Amino acid sequence: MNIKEHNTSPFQRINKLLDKYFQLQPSLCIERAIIYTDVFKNTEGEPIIIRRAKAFKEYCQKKSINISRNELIIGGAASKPRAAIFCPEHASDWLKDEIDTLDTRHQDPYEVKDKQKKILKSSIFPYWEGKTISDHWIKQIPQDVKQIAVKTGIIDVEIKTQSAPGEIAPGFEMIINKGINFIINEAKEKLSCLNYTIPEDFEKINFYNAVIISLEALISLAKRYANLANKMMEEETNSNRKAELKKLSKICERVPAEPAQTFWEAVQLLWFIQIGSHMEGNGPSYSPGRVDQYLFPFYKSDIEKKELSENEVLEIIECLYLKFAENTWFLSKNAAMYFAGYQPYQNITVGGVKPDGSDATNELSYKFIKAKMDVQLHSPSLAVRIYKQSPEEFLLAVAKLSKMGTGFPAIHNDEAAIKMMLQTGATIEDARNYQLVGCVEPYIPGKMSKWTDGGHYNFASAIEFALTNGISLMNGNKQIGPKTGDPINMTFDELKEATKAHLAYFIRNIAIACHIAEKLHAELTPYPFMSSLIDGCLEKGMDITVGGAKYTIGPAFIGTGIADLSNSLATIKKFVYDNKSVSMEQMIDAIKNNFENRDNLKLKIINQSPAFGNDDDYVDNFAREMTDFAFNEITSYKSFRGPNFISGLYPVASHVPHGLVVSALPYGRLSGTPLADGCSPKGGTDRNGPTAVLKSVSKINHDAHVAGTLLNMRLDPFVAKDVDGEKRIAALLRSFVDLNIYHIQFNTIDSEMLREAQKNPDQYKSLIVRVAGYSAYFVELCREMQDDIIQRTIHAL
Amino acid sequence: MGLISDIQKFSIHDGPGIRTLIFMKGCPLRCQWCSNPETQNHFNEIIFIRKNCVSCGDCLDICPIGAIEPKTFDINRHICDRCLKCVDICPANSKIDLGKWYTVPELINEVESDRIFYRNSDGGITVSGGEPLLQYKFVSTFLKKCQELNLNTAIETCGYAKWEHLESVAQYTNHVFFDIKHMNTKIHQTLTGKGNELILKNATKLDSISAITIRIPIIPGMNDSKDNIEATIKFSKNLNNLNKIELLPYHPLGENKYSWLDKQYKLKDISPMNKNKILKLKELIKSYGIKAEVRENLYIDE
Ligand code: SF4
Ligand code: SF4
Repeated sequence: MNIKEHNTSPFQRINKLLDKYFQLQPSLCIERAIIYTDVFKNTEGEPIIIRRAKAFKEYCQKKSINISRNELIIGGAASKPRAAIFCPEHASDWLKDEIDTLDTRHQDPYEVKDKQKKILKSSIFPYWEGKTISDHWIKQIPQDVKQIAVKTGIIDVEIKTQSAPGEIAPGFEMIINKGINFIINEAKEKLSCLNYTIPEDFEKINFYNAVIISLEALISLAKRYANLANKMMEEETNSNRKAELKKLSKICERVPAEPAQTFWEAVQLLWFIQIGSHMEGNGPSYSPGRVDQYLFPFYKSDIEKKELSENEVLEIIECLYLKFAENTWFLSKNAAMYFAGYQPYQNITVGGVKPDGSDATNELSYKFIKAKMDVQLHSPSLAVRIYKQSPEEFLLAVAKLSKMGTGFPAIHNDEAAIKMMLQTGATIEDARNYQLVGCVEPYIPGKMSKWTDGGHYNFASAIEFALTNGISLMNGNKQIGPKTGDPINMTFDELKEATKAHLAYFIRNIAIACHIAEKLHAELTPYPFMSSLIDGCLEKGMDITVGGAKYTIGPAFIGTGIADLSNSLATIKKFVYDNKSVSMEQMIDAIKNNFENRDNLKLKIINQSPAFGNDDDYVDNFAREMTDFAFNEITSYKSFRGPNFISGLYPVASHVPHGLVVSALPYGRLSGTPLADGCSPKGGTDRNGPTAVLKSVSKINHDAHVAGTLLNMRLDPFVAKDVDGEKRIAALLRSFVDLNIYHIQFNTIDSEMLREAQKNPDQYKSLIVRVAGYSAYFVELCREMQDDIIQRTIHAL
Repeated sequence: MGLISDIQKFSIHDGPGIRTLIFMKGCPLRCQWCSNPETQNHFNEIIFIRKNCVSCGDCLDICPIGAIEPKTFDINRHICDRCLKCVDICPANSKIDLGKWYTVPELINEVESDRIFYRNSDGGITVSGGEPLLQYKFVSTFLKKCQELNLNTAIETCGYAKWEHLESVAQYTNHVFFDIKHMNTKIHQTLTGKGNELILKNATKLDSISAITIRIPIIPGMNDSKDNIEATIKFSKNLNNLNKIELLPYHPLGENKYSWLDKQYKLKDISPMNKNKILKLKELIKSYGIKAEVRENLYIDE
């Protein structure tokens, strides 16, 4: 592939912007850190929510701003495109340790200047020492939890101590139609009814004041862009661009303060809200959601009034996509292994049903898909919703994009998703209106607060520990799990129970670690800007971190490697218990020795073990049993904000780092290698093609796992190219809906191309692959993850 | 019971939609280019995939009659009585038995599992081989049951069978894919081991009871002359129930299987498939007003 090939848009403007985009490197931005630190120093003693609102305001008023040539949508969260905002209030100790290797590290390096390092070391790190969420958390978690939760890799709960919770979507539809001034007025009205003499009102007064400060701050930022556009307009010599800048200046004068009147205004307003969210706390998964629904009235009226042509609408969408790709998440070395690829997980959702149950697919749904074909960048993530009666034309469009091999779109099944949302207590209309946030997580737009990455665990460690009596072979043979007994004389059912005991132990520890993280967010980092845009908070005068949202759910515990556990149990059952050709001693000995010098045993197992993904109940039933068990354990605990924890089965990228700490497994997987991702079969073991994979995966009760489940399916592009390729994908998708699976995405890149990309990364800069729930630039991934992608089974379609 | 060498799900080149393809074991012809030589014999047959062998010697130790060669672990096929003990013990997927016996209910059970996919793609079941008609009783009972269960059925046949056998199967078949390898019976004899008279007669008879797709494997230098193809087209043109003609370009993907079976591959020096020629032949068919398709897309760039 030639590097020029990323220029696939029909618009010259977009191709130029793409050219420019590919010159950019992810870098570190410390403007926010400097400004927040200053404001925090000057506001010691004031209520935390007010301090944060004031810092946000100062940031809006002082941050660097710029407008690039050719842009139709303007504004950025950081000081420059693709720069990642550092938020010291969450965690700064990791950066202190890693600052000197930040630009050279293996996974997701960021450019950093010496001057920045100096400032960080002299004034930022020292101020935040002992004040961050992470610092508090490490001091507050009990010793026994620490032993499994910190730096063992068996469970990972650190992400929510390092960044804002994210995974949220402000009510874009409401804001676009009402404007921010409307909310400010509402807050003022509420404020006028409160009384400092009433103890309960005290926090509310702080909340409303913080909301007003934050929202006015965003308006002031928009005005700065309006002024800049105006100034550039005066200096501009090209008459076309001059007119565009003039228009942009007018738009930014109006939105987000006032409701949008045109499609262009609505999209620019959306973008201001998006960057505002990132600026308040650089978290993951701020997701605009159902753009084809709430932008439709603007589109329709502009087309009818001939304000815009169909092409101009598409061009604005493509400009918006480029802006999304500029937002960059900032993560420690460890966290970057779990969330590889600089992904901020901004999710756009099209298709599905409307709140009243009728078909929601419209002209804009197709435009957002088309734009994704033209602008093949890793972000935004494009999700589609399909259901039994989705138009065939829509499925064919989905198939066409799937065939391109970028991993987009992520395809979600309304039948399963709506059931999930109903379980959270949502009304049926709200449930039908779900969107996606992050990779695959269903969410009710503008009404929900949930953490979908409360903690990660892996199923494979549970069987390792059952066989070692709780010792972690990859953590220096330390006793990390409980002692469940010597497996040698166990019956198979006893062994299964021991496995469950370990799973239960992982889950219990995540629950404790999560409680503390949630509590600390409430105490240290309220989010008044975001809260003002989430239904419920304004009525109650409560921040999202203390349960202000109409629907507060989660946090979620995310499991990966269910295929590894199922395959392991099936192998043991078959060889040790059923045909008794391998003894338990032999099995344990092989695992402890990573199958070294045990080639015959390894071969026999690899060639004859039943494997998840082949529509074989012998093994698939374990997947159902173990995920049901995890679901029951997780939902048996209550979270800090009140509701029960929720379960999810998607890995993001965690199957790779989790794999590093899992010993050899009974089914022949070697120690340290990646686990299977989400609900997907283990690459290379699904020998019966895509229909069998779907059948196996359908045996998991997807609708119970409210945080979402994930299935990655690799397709051979060579056959997908066939004339009927799209029809076949469409038929597979209809079957996927019938099977009540929740999510699927296709990866249609061939291995040869990926190997080539490993050798010549420069020529493959625009190559995107889907790694477990999201897309990333292939050449930006670490070697292990690249190898994992190459190893996945290729299905012919 | 039927002897089956393989069941392939998500099959997309043998009939409409997403299908399950069943390879029956045993065939009356011995086409030189056959890419499924493991389906030729109607008995359990052990293949030896040498590249998988790790020389553990287990097969040598277990063979009760000394049919395994020491050093090479080759099977002495003259004395091997196919007891399958070596297959059971081989850890490396190196010695494999490629025949499995199924009852009709077992096979129905197997194909039922993908019903959702057939339904959503207008797909179904295709019985291929080998030659399905060699096990006509089993196949006929199976397909009858499939149709009772509302599953779309197809067979792929070389046409070399007693008419009654073909008829017993065809009556439960929605699509018949019928191979015609050469119009000249002498050449047909050389290429496949049998003449073509019975085959052509069967095609004509079948025309009255079933829709037919004629399939022509295109083997460079063996049957791809314009004359032969034109003769096949003219023959097909006379069928009233002709659906279309499909061209199946030769591919060498079956070659390694010959060594697994200790058989000679006769087409080693065949000239490569010429893409233009295939497309020309396709045009030729179309010029007779017959629908034409090239089946394998291996050599077709779009
Ligand atoms: S099938 Fe039996 S007789 Fe034949 S080689 Fe194997 S073990 Fe020996
Ligand atoms: S048992 Fe299998 S791997 Fe071992 S020598 Fe025989 S063929 Fe080779």
